[in-house]
Amino acid sequence: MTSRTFANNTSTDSRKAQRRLLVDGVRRTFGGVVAIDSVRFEVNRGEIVGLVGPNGAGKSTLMAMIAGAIPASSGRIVFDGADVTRWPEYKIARHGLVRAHQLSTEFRKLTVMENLLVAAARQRGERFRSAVTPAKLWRAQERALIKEATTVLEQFGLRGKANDYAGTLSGGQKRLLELMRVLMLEPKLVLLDEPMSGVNPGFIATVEERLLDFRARGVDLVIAEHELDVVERLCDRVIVVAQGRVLAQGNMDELRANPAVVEAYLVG
Amino acid sequence: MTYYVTTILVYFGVDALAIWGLNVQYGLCGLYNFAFILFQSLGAYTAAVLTLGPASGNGGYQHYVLGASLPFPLPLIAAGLAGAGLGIVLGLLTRRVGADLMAVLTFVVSVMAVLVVSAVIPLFNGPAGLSSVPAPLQSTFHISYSSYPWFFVGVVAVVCAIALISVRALTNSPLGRAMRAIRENEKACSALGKNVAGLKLFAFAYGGALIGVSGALLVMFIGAWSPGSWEVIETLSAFAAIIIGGTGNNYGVVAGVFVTQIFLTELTRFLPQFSATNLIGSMQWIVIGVLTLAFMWFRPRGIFPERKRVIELDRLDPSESRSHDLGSSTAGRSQEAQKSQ
Repeated sequence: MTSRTFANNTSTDSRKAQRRLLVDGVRRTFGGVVAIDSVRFEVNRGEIVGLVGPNGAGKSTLMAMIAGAIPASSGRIVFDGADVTRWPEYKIARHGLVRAHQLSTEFRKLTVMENLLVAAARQRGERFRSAVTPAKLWRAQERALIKEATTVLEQFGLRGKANDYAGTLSGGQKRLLELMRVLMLEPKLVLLDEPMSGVNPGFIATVEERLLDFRARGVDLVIAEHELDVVERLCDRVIVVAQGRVLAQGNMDELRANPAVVEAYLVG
Repeated sequence: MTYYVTTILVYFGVDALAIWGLNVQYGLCGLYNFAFILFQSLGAYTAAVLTLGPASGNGGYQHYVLGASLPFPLPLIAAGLAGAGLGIVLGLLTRRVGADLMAVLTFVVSVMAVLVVSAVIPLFNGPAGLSSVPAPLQSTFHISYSSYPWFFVGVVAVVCAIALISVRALTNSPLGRAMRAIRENEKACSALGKNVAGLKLFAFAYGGALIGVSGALLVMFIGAWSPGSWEVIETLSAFAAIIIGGTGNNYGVVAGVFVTQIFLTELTRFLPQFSATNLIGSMQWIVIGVLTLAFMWFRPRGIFPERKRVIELDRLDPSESRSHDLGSSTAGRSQEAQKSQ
């Protein structure tokens, strides 16, 4: 099944209403090298989509492009009806499309609580005039944010770590911190680049549960992951990327039956 | 003796002011501004030409641009604005580079500026520099020469107090928190929806304004400023003060200033003459260098490390909630999600 036939399955209007993200013919070259070539796929509301492919297939580049960290050479990215192709990364993130990085990117010398607080959007105390105006202008909002962050910390079982420096957390806890930070942004769609990297096997189930919490909150997910077991358990639909192109998409059983996919990835 | 004490107090205040500026840039936001002394000099020159009056006055023996004699607080404010402007220029110049290249670029600009100011005499009177800068408010209030230094100490104290209140407000605000997050990881900050470029420019400008004002106060006190007074080593010693005092801690960096600028300078002044004559003069810099290295090795967070901001979760009032409450918005979203499935 190719992306083209998938797109033609539903009628245009209802599909648009359903659609969270449209990646339309996106292409990126570095020098003469084509890293991403005419990639087209969609993510619907309420979906968890997997992105798999061999090393160097372009999964991370593709995610960075969708999040606005790397500009697309051509093509179009539409998020919640807005063409965000040329938007800067921070603006896309504020709009609800957030990328969580492959490597842990915690703010080491900020406490876990501060890591969460800093992520919250639309903070009054972050305006430039806070440098000279009294704190009472933002204190109420700050208290509410602390309360919200505490709830998230409790849900993730890290309340006891709230006042520890983030740099002192374990690899798995840093992963959770990354997810918590993203949650504080109240995102609509989260791009997760290898959420299980650096997580010890005993902890994977915990991270998976937390990812399912995202869905319960109405947040859609795109997950690039090497662990196919994880992808199979979490994702409604899987997109296979190889050599910068979409090779196929469908559920894992369909993909296993697809000789092109098997050749490109599952066996090789 | 009065002169000695007041001079030390003024220098201490001026250095504290400048170091708060650099601490906002480097300590808080992680910006390697190696053009520190350029900010101070720009502030000094700006204030000087705006108090000296037209260049043709005084027999016209000095050449400079923009000659004017503005009443007291205005040259100070102009120096602050000039510092902020320079901050924005350097910020834009280093917008796309990492910390290492930012250090190199700002350093190069600083060195180039000394050469340009020395070579282009009509700008700020070249290598001879500007002198006879009038002391502010002395003639207005008819303050005697003997009591004027104390008056100036008061002026510096007032400016420092205002600066400290503002710097503290910034450091403790979510804005300061976002800057610290940039210092820790710029890319992650951008991915979390922070306008990193804007915040960095703001830190550059804000810190630049403080450093500019410090230069203005200094030139008003000494009455002269020339390219010889802004050697690159001043920038290095400012960084030394921050590293020794405690990067990111507004009080720590003042302690650092005290150690590097006041204590060591005065200490070497009283050293007995030994070995080559020039060695004593260089002693301050040698000791600062060794001390900085020692701190980087053994106490990298300085004498007074940045305070950990602990939030007592158990003391929170449970009745308050955020205006766009997470509970209700997520409930709404999950309904939406269910409908679509």
